[in-house]
Amino acid sequence: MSEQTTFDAIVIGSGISGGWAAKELCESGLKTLVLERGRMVEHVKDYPTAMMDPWDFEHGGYISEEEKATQLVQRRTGQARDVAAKHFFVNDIDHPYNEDKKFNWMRGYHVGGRSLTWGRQTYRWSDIDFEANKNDGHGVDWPIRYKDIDPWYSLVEKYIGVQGSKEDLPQLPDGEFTEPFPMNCVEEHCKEKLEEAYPDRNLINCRSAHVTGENAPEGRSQCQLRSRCRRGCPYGGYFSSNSSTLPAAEKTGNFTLRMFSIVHSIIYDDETGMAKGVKVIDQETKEELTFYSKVIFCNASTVGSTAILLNSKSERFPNGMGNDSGELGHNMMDHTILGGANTRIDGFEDKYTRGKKPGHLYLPKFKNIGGSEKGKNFVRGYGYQGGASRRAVPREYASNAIGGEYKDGMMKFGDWRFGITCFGEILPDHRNKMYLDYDKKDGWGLPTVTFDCELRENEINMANDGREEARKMCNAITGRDDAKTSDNTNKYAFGHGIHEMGTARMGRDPKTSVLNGNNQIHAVPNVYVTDGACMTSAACVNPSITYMALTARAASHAISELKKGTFS
Amino acid sequence: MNRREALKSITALVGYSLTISATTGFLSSCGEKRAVVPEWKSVFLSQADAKAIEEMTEVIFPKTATPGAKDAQVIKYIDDLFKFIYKKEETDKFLEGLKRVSLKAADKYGKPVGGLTSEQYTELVSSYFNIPEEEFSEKRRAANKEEVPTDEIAKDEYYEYYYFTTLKSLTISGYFTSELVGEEVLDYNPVPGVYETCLEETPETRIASV
Repeated sequence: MSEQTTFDAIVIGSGISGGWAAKELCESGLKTLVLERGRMVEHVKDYPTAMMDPWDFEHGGYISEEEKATQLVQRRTGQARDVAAKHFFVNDIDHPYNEDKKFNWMRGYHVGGRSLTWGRQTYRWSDIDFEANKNDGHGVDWPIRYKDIDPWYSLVEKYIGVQGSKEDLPQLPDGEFTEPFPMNCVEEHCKEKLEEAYPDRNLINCRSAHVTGENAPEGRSQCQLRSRCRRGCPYGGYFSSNSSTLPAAEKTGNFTLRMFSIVHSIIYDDETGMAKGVKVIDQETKEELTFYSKVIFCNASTVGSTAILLNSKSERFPNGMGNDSGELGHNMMDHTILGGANTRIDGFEDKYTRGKKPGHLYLPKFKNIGGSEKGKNFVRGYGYQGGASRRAVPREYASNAIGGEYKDGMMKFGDWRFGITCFGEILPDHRNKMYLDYDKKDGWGLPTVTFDCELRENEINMANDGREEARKMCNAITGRDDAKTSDNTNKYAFGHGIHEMGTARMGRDPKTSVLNGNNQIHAVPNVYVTDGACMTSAACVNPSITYMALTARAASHAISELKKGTFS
Repeated sequence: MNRREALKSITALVGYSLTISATTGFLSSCGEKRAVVPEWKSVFLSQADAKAIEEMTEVIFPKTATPGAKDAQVIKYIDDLFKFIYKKEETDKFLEGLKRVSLKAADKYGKPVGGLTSEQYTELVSSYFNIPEEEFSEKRRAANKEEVPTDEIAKDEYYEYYYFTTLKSLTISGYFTSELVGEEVLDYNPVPGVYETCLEETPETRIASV
């Protein structure tokens, strides 16, 4: 039997947004092909390290020099330095790219993509974020507002499971939360002290895509407090495509998943003024294949989707599909993670915790939010992730201590520490870009991606302010002045936040944006881009929930357009 | 079924709503007995070197109410890392240090380093560590530089301190990542099911191993 080549819908990519597109399209009755460039990762079965303890790893968990050499870029952010998760990150020799300026491009080429290894922090945007471009003139105005996405946030939250507490904050709208992870006694103490010193700031429970409370989503169970999320969770304790949306899509009988399918380009049809299909290179055989559909969802990741569009050239689109504005590949954003502060907390020396929370606290932004304090020398804002924990007595590898007492001392708890790390917004800037290098092709004959992005004054000023405020807040909690700041500015490169965004932005005007308010390419309405590429600005919170909500919203739009016959 | 296999087979349960009590009940139903470890043969070090190094790890981490480095088979860990992980120049430097320490021991005790009494091992190892912290730090820093001193006494010290500081690090990491210490000495709680926010510490309380 020959392979089926015609479908109602094609979804490129099976990560956090592709999984949602697949689920929504399949559940509406559309025969949907999901193209995944890498291998299968089946929920539970393909999490080889999930139940391994340190002593179960060969060579004490150390990675040999030969193996390290295959992931030199993936190791930059620490992600692939962990022997327990490195198999979810690409081989950098097989998947090269170029850096006009240093760029940390962290990737997982397999079913589920980075939904397996994501940070799981889940924060809604507010109108402060959706209106930011309009208000300060950076980038272009978002074509949507909070009210347009609010119901879709709810739909996604209810389905994926988000633990958190309701706080009624204008800059961080509440959602459909399940029981929050409890704060430990020192976190409660820090919250009290901090909010006493700064009544307009809030130290709250983090919000994350972990299952808590009585009712687990179908096929999943409660978070077991292991903090081994990045290995894949056999309990389905956190949300991933693999544990959730892909099985839901499969259940409909409308779902076809094709692995090892590298998308070369989207094919434009001059007669209809729409896309008619997708050209694919089989990763294993290098055979060229074509698949056809009425609608296409591009969810290959910010960089992946943008590279596909840039390579989708035709007479109508000589500079890449949908690139009438010249903005395709531009306005790259990320989040800065340039440091924070931490301090010792006294008075709880007889208390300890048991179990491992996979997420602790969040401190939402407090500057540049309407009537609040203004940033002295920056626009937009930052928030912090952090928490308090009691660590073991330090091991002092370098000291001259030896002996039984020294050994047994290290089995005890040491100081409590509280710390917060600043996540800052990066402005959309046309100069921050990616483009394709046709002189350097990869192993499948595709042009490689080159990055040319850097932090500018606003980001640096904001991060400096965030570090200083973190120090002051730590000192306000302790009443001492010995908080330590950490400064990663010299180690940071664009991409380090692993929140690449913005290279096919949404907008109101086709002259200055790639996508419209429904995530359709302005000039090719049956192509939807709903991963991070669509983002018009970056806010300072983790973006995945917004990709998922926009995807569900766009899928609903596409389904109704198909019913109306718009794409036939 | 040992505890780890039991844990691994939990994955078969997924798909049902797994409650905390189901998890812990399942675990505690499996009695565990440690398998007898067959006599260990080194894969990289000579048997004589392995014996001497093992005795020295025991001086760094001796048996107390808790197991010592020998119980935790730290030497097996060290031998494995030298074969598979450490760079040749690092293992060469380490072994050069051991050689120089051995020569000194032979001079002092009149027998090869593999044949000392435990008191003699303690005296030998302690003589390198029981010096003022600042002096120790200085020697450690010098030993970890690439540049080898030309002066013979300084050269001895360079290799010997590389050997001992490396050995100390390996003893700590090998000990605390061992199955024995992880499962039976520290608080082994691989599937907590709950976050306990404020427990009272007692003298018996130990840190978590995983």
